[in-house]
Amino acid sequence: MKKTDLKDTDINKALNAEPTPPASETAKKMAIQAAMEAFERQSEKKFQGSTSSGSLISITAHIFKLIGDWMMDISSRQMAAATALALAGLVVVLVPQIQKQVPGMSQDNFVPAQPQKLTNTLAKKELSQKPEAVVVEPAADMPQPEPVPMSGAVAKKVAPAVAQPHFLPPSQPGIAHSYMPPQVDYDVSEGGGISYLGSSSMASSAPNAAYAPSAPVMAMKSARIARQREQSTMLSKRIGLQQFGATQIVEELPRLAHGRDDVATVVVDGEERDRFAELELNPVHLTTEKPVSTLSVDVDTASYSFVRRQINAGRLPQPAAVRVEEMLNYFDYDYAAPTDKSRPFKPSVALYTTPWNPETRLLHIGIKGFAATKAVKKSNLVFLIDVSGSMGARDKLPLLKNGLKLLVDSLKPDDTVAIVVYAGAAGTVLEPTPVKERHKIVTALDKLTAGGSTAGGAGIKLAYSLAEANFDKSGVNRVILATDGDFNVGTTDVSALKGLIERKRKSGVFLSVLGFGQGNYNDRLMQELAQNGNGIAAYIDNLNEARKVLVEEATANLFPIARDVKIQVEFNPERISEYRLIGYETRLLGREDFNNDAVDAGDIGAGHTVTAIYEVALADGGGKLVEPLRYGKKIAESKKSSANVGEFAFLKMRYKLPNETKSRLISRAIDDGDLLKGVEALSDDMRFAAAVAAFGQKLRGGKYTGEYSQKDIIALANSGKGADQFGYRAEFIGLVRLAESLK
Amino acid sequence: MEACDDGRLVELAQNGDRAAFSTLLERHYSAIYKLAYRWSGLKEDAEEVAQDVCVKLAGAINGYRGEAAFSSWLYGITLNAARDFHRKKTSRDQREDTAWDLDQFQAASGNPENSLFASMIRRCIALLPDSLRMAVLLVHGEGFNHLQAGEAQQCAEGTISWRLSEARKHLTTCLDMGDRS
Repeated sequence: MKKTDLKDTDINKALNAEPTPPASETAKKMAIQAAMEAFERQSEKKFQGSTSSGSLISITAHIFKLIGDWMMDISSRQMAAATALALAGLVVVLVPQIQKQVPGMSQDNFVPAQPQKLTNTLAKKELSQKPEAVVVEPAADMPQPEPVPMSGAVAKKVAPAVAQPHFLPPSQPGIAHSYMPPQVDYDVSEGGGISYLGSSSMASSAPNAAYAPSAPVMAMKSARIARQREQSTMLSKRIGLQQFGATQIVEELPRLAHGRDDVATVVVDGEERDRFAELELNPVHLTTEKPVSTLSVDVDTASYSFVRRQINAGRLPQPAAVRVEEMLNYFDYDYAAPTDKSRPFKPSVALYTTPWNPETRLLHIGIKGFAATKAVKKSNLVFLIDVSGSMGARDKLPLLKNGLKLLVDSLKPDDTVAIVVYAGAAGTVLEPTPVKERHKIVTALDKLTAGGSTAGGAGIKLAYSLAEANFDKSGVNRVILATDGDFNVGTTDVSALKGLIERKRKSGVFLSVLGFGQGNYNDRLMQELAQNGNGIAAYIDNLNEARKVLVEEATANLFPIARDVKIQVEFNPERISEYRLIGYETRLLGREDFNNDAVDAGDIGAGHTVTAIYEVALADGGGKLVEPLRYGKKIAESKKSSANVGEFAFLKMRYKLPNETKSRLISRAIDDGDLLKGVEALSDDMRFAAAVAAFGQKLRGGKYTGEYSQKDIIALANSGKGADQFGYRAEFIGLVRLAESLK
Repeated sequence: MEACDDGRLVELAQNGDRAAFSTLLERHYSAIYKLAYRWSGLKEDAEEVAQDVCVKLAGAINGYRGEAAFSSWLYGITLNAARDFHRKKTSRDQREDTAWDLDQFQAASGNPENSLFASMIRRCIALLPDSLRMAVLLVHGEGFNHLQAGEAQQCAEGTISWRLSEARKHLTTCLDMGDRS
């Protein structure tokens, strides 16, 4: 592909050549008039001064307003009655909290400042008719929230539950600030600039409600909201809410707040709606207690793209969003390739000193899939595209269209492509069409517009029916789902959906999932769907990534060369006393699952590489984390007779060829021949992989990486950068650097 | 009043001087609007964002302490407002994002070859991640140096340089793809 020569002057010209249409005079006048009105209100407030109870009333008013507005939003979903109950509970929890912060504040102050605004819906009616209901003690069975300490420092500490700490203003000494207008009305916001926390909409309609709480107050509120998440979940269960339970209420609160000017939300970040399953790190195992480790391979890369996006946007990703194995497997490593299709891959193994801990060793297992020289199979692809309203953002549908066009270009003329969209209703946009009619496909793609809400279930069924109608027994039949996340599935039940995908997989139609955008990306669901459909889940955040996933890796993603690939490592307690698997938390299998061909595992596509790394403590070395038992048996006494005494471990891999149901086995011993002297003796690729592993673990909290710094990671990654044809590795190094500045 | 510099006007406005605040608005409105337009590519949106920014300024001006040049500071606010507005708009109104449509620019072309390239660049800029896009608009669009852009985006000068080089990578890729589609 040719590289466009882009000069600075081109960008300057592009931005300045096109004349900006002048703003209309009316717009300007209106803007200035509105601003002057706001300015006057500011001045009044400033020179009249205000009391502490004044700003607290307004905090309550804000919460009420928030909840009220939220009610407006959901009332159309016919859930008002049920959620009103949940909300009442939430308010009961929130209000006493605030009251606690200001001793001596009378209950009267808690009558909503603007009861006339709290009308229209059931919940609001209840609240305004009986304002005293709002200040009753929490119900007896409601868990009592902890009191909130009144210092800015503490607020910072608790804030990360909902917000990233670095978004907090640098020097807010304490809550006292909320009593000192005008400073309370603005704050340093994320990403730069100052964002005013007063209201534009409210400024014109409700002149008295413009006090906004200061950031520490909001940080505390956020933390409280986070804590109440659990409580509310319980509450919602009690009143039988399923789809719009109270959990979502508290999730909605920060989001709403984010989208509105009238509430101080700098510390409440909308990103938090991206959902990731919480996972514990793999623990350290004693070889004597658990000598065998079993896992399924994983060739997903979604986590790396997500991490990259977060860091590029100026924040560190949530630790739960970081899956080290997906970061590792994002990169292509030049492991020794197999030469024969019948034995489609070959493990490369090395044992070397851990970069972040000189006492221990890394056991590095690399696998490269057989690269088909030319894919001869016919592809029958059905794109299932989410065109719900939220897909309208630039980084979603437009990016997706461009990416899919690239994929179409890389397909063979007699491959077929069909397009199904889903939003309010699912529909076929393009019947299966051979790629040689490219213009037809491109036209169909171009016509897609975003609008409506998501109904994924119907879409999936429709997509499968098209794929089946055009089923090619000897070809690749695949549904490619592209979405920004939330599936308001027709078969709302996620397990039913997974069942459907699994059945279809057995009939020969696979599913891959491409994730776009951020804000409500449902990582876990995407993962699970792809795993059930024997496909990959990839997260696409820019065109470069679209190209990587859809074109460069198209053959790999589309043509599995081995299915249900499992790895099992048995460690020899005589040589290795402890081990820990880095990443793969979601991919662990039971020891007995290894030989059970009915247990599903990941697939490897043509040319894919997979890397798994264990950190091990040698029996005759240091770095052990577990104290030896006082009464434990000495290994030497128990089994000196073993014939394989010199081996560190034994590696076994099981896989099925694409058309077979019985698995095959590859195995090899790991012995002194695999032991390298130091990191220097390693190949570039293994060094780079070790750097990625270190970075991933640091992002997950760095429990085992000790003093190893970002600078060390950069140095290691640089030493293993190699040719880096597409600049992916350089990009990684840039990310580490940026992440360092975010600490 | 017109003769006063920004710093003096801000000082007066912070003390409640209406005329000073009004002068500031008059002076900077078109710059705010223009930057908002660069972000959204739609006149109506840009006007709305500009109004938001003006209203916000009534309160936010009290927080300006002169650490950064007033214009850098103001541009920071404007870009954040434009970004937030656009996020809200796409998620709420559920409208398709037609801004920065390629055809729109081709239609308004002078020298077709040149302006096609320029419009492709603009389209690709619109696809950049927010922080990179802000850096590009400030430096290449407004002629800020890296230090000033850093003030507006509240990050180090070096971060701006990094963002720009990152943006250039994205743009080059994007343009390469554009050629093929």
